[in-house]
Amino acid sequence: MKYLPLILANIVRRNRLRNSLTILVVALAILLISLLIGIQAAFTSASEVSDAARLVTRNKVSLVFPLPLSYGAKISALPGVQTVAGGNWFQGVYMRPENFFARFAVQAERFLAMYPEYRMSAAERDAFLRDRGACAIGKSTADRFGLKVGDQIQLKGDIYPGLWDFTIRAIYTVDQDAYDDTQMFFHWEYLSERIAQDAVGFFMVQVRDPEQAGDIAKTIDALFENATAQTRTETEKAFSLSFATMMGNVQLLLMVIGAAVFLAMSMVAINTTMMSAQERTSELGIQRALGFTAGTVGALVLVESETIALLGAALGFAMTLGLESGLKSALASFAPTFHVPLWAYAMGLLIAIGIGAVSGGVPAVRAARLRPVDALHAL
Amino acid sequence: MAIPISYNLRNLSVRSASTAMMIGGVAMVVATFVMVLALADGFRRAYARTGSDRNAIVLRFGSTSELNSGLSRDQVRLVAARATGLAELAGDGSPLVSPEMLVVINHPRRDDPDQSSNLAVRGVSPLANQVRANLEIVEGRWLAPGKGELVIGKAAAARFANTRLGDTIEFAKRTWTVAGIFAAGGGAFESEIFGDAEEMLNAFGRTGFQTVTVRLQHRDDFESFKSEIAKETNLQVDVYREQEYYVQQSRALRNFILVVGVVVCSIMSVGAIAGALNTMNGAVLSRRREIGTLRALGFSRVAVLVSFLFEVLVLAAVGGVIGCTLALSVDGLQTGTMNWESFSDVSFSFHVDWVRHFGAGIAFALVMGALGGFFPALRAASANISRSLRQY
Amino acid sequence: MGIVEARGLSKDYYRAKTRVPVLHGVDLNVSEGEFVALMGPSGSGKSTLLNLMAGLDEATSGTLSVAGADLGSMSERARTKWRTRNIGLIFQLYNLIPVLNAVRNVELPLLLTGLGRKERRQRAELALDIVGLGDRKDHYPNELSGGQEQRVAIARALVTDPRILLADEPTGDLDRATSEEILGILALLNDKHGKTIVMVTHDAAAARRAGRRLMLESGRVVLQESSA
Repeated sequence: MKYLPLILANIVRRNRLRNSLTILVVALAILLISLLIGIQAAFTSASEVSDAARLVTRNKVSLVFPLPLSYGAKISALPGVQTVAGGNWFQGVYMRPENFFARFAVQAERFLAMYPEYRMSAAERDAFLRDRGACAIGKSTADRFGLKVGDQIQLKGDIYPGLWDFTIRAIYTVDQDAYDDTQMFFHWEYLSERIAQDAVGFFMVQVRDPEQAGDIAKTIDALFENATAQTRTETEKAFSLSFATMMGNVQLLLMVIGAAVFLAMSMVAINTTMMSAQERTSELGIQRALGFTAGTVGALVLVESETIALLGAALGFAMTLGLESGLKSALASFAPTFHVPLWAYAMGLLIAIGIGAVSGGVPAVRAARLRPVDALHAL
Repeated sequence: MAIPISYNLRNLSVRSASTAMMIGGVAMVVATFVMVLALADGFRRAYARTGSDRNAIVLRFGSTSELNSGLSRDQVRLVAARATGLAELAGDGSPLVSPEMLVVINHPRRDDPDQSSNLAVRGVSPLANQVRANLEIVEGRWLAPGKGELVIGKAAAARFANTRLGDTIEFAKRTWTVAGIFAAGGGAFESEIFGDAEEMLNAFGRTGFQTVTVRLQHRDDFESFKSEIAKETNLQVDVYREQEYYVQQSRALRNFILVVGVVVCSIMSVGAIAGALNTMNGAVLSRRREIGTLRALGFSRVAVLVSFLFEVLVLAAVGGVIGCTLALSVDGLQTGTMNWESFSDVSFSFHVDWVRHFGAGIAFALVMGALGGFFPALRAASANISRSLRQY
Repeated sequence: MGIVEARGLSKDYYRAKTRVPVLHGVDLNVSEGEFVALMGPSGSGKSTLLNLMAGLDEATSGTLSVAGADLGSMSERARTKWRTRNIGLIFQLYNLIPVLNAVRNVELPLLLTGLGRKERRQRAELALDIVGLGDRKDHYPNELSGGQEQRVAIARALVTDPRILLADEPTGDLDRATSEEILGILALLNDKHGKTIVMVTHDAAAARRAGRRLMLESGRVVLQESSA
């Protein structure tokens, strides 16, 4: 790497403003693309970390329609089923509609047994399970609203009208970004008593052997084939995925934006490198006159543009890391599991290398084709 | 005296590659910007066209969406009574009042029947096609009550399976026949299925409705209607203008589109400004001698500044126009997503507004150009004449 | 046998499809250790002749042998490699790389050799010492005067220890006193270090420092004279 000082000198000493701008532009491209990937991944992350041993049973017509509580016991009695926990989507409003986070009424003890990924201390868990008016919330939500264990929160019901008061008895954490730590869980019994209905929105079904999950799902649906309320049972993964597909073309849209970003930023970077090489035509000619081969001169131009692109990538990664937590809270209502996955960084690196290659390629070929005698004439 | 414009134009064509790149950068940003505006606007329009400002919608007090509203038959009767004299009358003299029920069913999609999305099913009064004045049957006919018939919005028909004229659909344990396909001025009703409310209540085992929509004789009757309702203190309902209500329902998703769009576009615009700055800096540097010569010939600093600014603004404007043209390719493109407020699929199309969006896009391009071009232009203008002349 | 031997050397350029002859059958011999000045008015072909000798350009016809290599028969790549070892080039406008300091500019041609970092640095510093700029090695081109820049350029031409130095108007952009310094350095390199030098100049005073002067006009050698 004896040419390194020459390359660095070209980047650091020549037109610092221009090179800094190019680095900034590449960094912004990487930042944008990482964030788009993060948002996109948030839509599907729930399905990626779902447990193959968990099934969701709901009313066949749609989630809006309930199932009788008695179904729970019938499903539990099926061979291969380990635990069944009923639950309802509560929704409601916490102070203002913008303060959205998912709120569920669940048969708490069985539900928590099924979800070891929601971690809480034994003491908090016991306190939550003992108190009917208690709720457990995720750490992100606790942080977002400055809530702590022992606080009271009041929700204004919409699906279930009225004002609902809860005591926070537990705050759960997760050890993987893809798990949602914004949700609130409270006792299903608290809901059903007050509305005097035994209606359940969904049953979470844990099976002993994930291999049998598909068969058990069919058995459950067959069990209620002729009942008043028919069921639809699918794996947790399929259930989450169906939400992602309902979002429709959002993913396509994000990809289109990503491509536009890449194109726009590449053009800026190519422009810079080309101008830089053009201004230096005579210098490159001198290098050729001094005996540098066409290949070496071209390679030096290419390495220079790659170096700029990679510096941009490094800055882009730093910006992504810096902004990630801020964006996570900004997007908490919409994409609670927002995080930039590792492969986004790999992608960013590839994109940077691509921008470097494209932007350095044309000028490099041009520099290599340069006839020293013409280059000297360009003086 | 001003430097002739032909000087700039010739320079633009000489530095063609660099110029093209800068224009391309600006064009990409403007295209993205206009597409985002078109998307947010298309979404808003779908909802703005959903209701009429001559209609009033009544929901249970405090409910945040139609789905979680609920009105008993008694409440519906009271609302209908209070509408007397204000509601428009149908041909047979009955008031145009439609008590409605709304549910969401999970239904297979047309593009991939293995996947299903949430489809809104609305049980309506047989007069609902007169309550919604912009409702227009495009195929078949309006539903006949009590015969298990459905009419399907054309957007829903495009996105869901088994929704063509004459098809049969099974849900709520009975079979329904598609009697007609309707348009509703591009509004969100086009993403729904309508059936007879009494039949649907029966089929879904419900006793109450969710909303009541009233066609008023005049748009100004809304306030009178609202105060009539308020007189019924036990009624516990909210009254909205139908149009405002649906625009409100689309706000969350629209804001999300706008926020994401604005963030993306501002980050991108920094890149485009940097591109303009680079290009113009390069232009100024490589033309130092020319600039010196122009100054020596007697052109003022201001003339040089104006000349360079003009050059960059022309470039930016060209980029802006190209960007708008690119964005035009999505105009009218149909897309759909789930609106969380209604928990069901809604179709809408990109809508590029020639005046507002193109105006905004080109203004955005000019701002980027001015920001990127000002300092290089200033640099050109403030260069020392004799030193510029000595540059090689 | 001379270190430069040209026989019937011709060079044509094409400008908008018209043939523009620059050199017409030049015959030239330069012996090892000579200091030759090429003179002549603008357009007489002196720079073209120098470029041909440096292997930067190819002759249209005739033969040219420099430092034992038959340039006409060599590929561009081979000439490039040959130039690194045998030719040192000095330009009117110095042509230093502005982003590199003096010693790095001088070191540049050595990057093409197999020398290690330490040795490259030593040789570059030695070359700078020879041209009397040992104390300015960390300065960048824009921090040096024209004469100092030209000395750095000479050091750069010298650093590979080439057999021939080719200089194109080395004093063209310098004042009288500075020109004398530069010519003094060239004369010293010729005298003391035995370098063969071919210098293009239109300055008669500069040409007088050379041992032999050739006058070109319209692509032909029209006059030769030697100093006593």
